[in-house]
Amino acid sequence: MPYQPPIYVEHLCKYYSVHQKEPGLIGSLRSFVRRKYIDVKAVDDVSFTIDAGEIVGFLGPNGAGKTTTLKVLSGLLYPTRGTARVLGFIPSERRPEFLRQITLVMGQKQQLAWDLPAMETFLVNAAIYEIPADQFKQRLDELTELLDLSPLLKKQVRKLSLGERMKCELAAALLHRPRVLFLDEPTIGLDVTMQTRIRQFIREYNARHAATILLTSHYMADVTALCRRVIVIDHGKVLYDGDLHNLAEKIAPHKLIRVELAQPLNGQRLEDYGEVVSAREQHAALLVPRDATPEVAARMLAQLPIADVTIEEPPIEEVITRVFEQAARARAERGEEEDGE
Amino acid sequence: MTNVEGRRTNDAGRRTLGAQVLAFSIFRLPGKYAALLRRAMGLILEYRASIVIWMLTGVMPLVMLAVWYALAESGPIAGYAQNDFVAYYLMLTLVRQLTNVWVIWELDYEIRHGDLSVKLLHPINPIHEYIATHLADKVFRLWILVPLALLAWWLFPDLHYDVMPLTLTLWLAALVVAWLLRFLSQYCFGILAFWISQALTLNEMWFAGMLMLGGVVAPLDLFPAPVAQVANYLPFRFMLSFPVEILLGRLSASDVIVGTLTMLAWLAFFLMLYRWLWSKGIRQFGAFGA
Repeated sequence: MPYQPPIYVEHLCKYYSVHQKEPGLIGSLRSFVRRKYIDVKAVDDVSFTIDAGEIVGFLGPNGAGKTTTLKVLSGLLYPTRGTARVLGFIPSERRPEFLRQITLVMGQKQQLAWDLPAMETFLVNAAIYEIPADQFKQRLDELTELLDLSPLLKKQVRKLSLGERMKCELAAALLHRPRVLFLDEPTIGLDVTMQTRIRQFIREYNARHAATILLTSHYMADVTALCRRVIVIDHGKVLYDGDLHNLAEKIAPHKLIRVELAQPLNGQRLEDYGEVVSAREQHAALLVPRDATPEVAARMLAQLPIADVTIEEPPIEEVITRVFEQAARARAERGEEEDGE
Repeated sequence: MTNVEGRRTNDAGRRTLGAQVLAFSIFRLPGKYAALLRRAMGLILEYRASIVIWMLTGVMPLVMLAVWYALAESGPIAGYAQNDFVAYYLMLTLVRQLTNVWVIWELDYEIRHGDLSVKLLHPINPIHEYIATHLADKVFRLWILVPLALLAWWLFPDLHYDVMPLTLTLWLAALVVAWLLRFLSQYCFGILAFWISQALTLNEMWFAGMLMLGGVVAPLDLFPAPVAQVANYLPFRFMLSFPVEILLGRLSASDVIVGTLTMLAWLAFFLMLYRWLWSKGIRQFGAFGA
């Protein structure tokens, strides 16, 4: 029988029909009499597959279609067209044996009952996910250890801090030990320490249980720390799917040369070597065409009083920004409108 | 590591498995309800003061009692003496308290704000989570209502109710169905929030219908005959009045049988309507706000 990856998406489309309304009373009246509907293509012909045990980062600006894709894959939304299969199931059928094997963690929606301790939600989940008592105890112990939950379990959820709440949310979402995790902004609003903590936990869960994970985040650090592979999506379309580090080579035609000068420059101009990104006292950074990097670096070493030099890939944030800029330019050239239609 | 389920391609196999899962989940349902109820009780106790206040909003039948009591001072009205009105409205108040439903406020909000997503991710139909909350509320209300009922009994010792084992059993069954009708019909209005933003307004009209034709404004047999005839077959009667009528002993055996059958027909109707609307509405869901 042919191998089927746990996540399989082919030509997936999700269009929303939204009615447009001019602001103000006149606009309200006009839209009452005759509603203008437009199709917003939240996801537009997206295809990808994810293998068992992979952690894939889903990147894109707000409104790119990341969350919509995750919601289709977890069965919350019916796709307009195309195919989605998760663990062999059609997500939108929302069959219990499917839902028992996946989870969707939304950084901005919570399942914990606000006015009760998190433990109450855990117990309810144990019942509705049909987790046997001994396994429940064992998993809770494991999660408590990994996330340091013991001081939190008996406190009212509303009295927890944002980070503490997120840890409890993760625990509630993972008690049934899902094989596929959809994580939508799991670190949003958290401080750096807590972000690192959550990241470590996700990596640990993936390693221990060989879970397949698709995650979105606005924090590049989440993605660089966890994902070797990224899928970049914008305006509902996949712009890039592959190794995170190849993305830089493919997209960014430049490398970054950082130099430290032994003494101030004496008439030479850094501008002659490349695009100066920053220059402060005796430190400078230049963008140099990728192919010319070795030659330019050699020339700088020969001609300038250099104490130290490093050659780096440009920061991944800049690479990503560049991807979106290029896509926007391409759309503009094709004469497409910015949104929908 | 492929999921075995994923390899099933023929539909027949799928149905058999579906039936198995169904049987399995019905078997497991009581355990799940126990857990849901436990959490719901926790929440209810957290909000106990507000529930007592909400209970006070259900005393409109007592206001109507005062009106009819005064009117019946000079003699019985259509067979209702003052004491009959007291018996009728006290029982109506009790039935109303025990069949109280507010699910549309939660459902409407959760659909329009996308909070329903959280429930949809669980491998259990969201309706069970709402039912559990309502059941917990009823358990809490009984703690208050039972002493109040005993107090009323002590204050009005000569009220006449038809408390035979058979009528009591029928009353209890009609009470449960009345709650189901109120819950399911309101749930159906709530599901409309998948399409429209004014589902609550429609429900208000439905609620007004229940006040008028469900026996709150007046016992149904006080209405002019043509109106009463129609009202006898509308769902509103079975959402409130019918259990009261059973216990008041004013119905003939054939009235009870016809009423029971009509009640069950409405229950079947709303059950099917709910299933149909839900399967359509869920496709509309936008899961907004996250």
